[in-house]
Amino acid sequence: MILFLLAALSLAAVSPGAATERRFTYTYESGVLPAGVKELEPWLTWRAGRTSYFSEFDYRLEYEVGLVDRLQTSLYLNWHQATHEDPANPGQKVGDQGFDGISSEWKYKLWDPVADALGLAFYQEYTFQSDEFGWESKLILDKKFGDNLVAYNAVVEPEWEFGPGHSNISWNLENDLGLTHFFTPAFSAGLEVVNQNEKTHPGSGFTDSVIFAGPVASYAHENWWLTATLLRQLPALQRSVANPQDSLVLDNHEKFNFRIIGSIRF
Amino acid sequence: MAALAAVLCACAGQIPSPTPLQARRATQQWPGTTLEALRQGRALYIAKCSGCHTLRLPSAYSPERWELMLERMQQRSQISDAEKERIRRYILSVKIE
Repeated sequence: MILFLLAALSLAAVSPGAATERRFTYTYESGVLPAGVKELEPWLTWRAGRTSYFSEFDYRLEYEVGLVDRLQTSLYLNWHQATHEDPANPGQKVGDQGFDGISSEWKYKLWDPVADALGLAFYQEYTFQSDEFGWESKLILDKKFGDNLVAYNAVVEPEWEFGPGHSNISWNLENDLGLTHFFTPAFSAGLEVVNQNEKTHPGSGFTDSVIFAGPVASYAHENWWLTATLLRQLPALQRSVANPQDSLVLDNHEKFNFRIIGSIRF
Repeated sequence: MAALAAVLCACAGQIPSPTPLQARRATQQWPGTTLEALRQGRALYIAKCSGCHTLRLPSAYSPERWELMLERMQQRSQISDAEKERIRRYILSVKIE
């Protein structure tokens, strides 16, 4: 993780230009790259704290291109490194790491959060793995009020898992909200709230409904930017079916999520 | 009613559209500049600059600061000399009120 961060920061520090600033890490804003502009964004997400020991680092490397002034596309490489309790030997930790496939993102901006009454963009992301396919759709709304920026995403993500002779589909519905204040044009800090609702059987209700909240801070120099969020799980809106006595859902989600994204333009 | 008006005002677009009066002043400063050219400058400003950061209001900086920023941002946003000049004329025209 440290090597990944150092590499990202050192690349950012020597970068000759800048790129689309992101003021949140979980919540998207409506901005898209101008036509012909390209950038590289390294992502790191750390997730930790389940019922039994769990710590996972998710890495993404995003290559983003502005196709025309309202449309951008991205290609992601995804991989992870995890340590968790061995179910076969309680108390023993085991590690695993691996490549999690590629993702293709498409984002189309209709309205701007400053020039128009409301910023609006549509987002599609397709993830391909050897045994999984994910299709994520987002409605992105944002608005700048003076020195404050508010963004909201409604997310729908069906995910198909394929195994020998069978396939399963699960649904993730998510609400993301970000509020931040620009203390200077370069530095902003605020709050992000993420609500995740998972449904594993068609026709049934949600398996659980969890909510995370925490601080976000972002700094954008002319030549680079860096944004980080630390989220803590709050008492669930709908508790886990497996552990209804717990206010936190820790069998399927983590107590803490931390994400940092940087940007390098070339 | 006042609260509703405040919300509606806050939600309105904040990047001003050029007026005929501003176009007439612009023509005196840069002969041949039309209202349509200033409108195109506004559209270019929104399209090219909002891709990298939230838009700054034309009134946010002095003309000298805008000149410096446009120089620095031109390469960053891959803006041609002609596009930069349109954006420059739009910003400097609408900020003088």
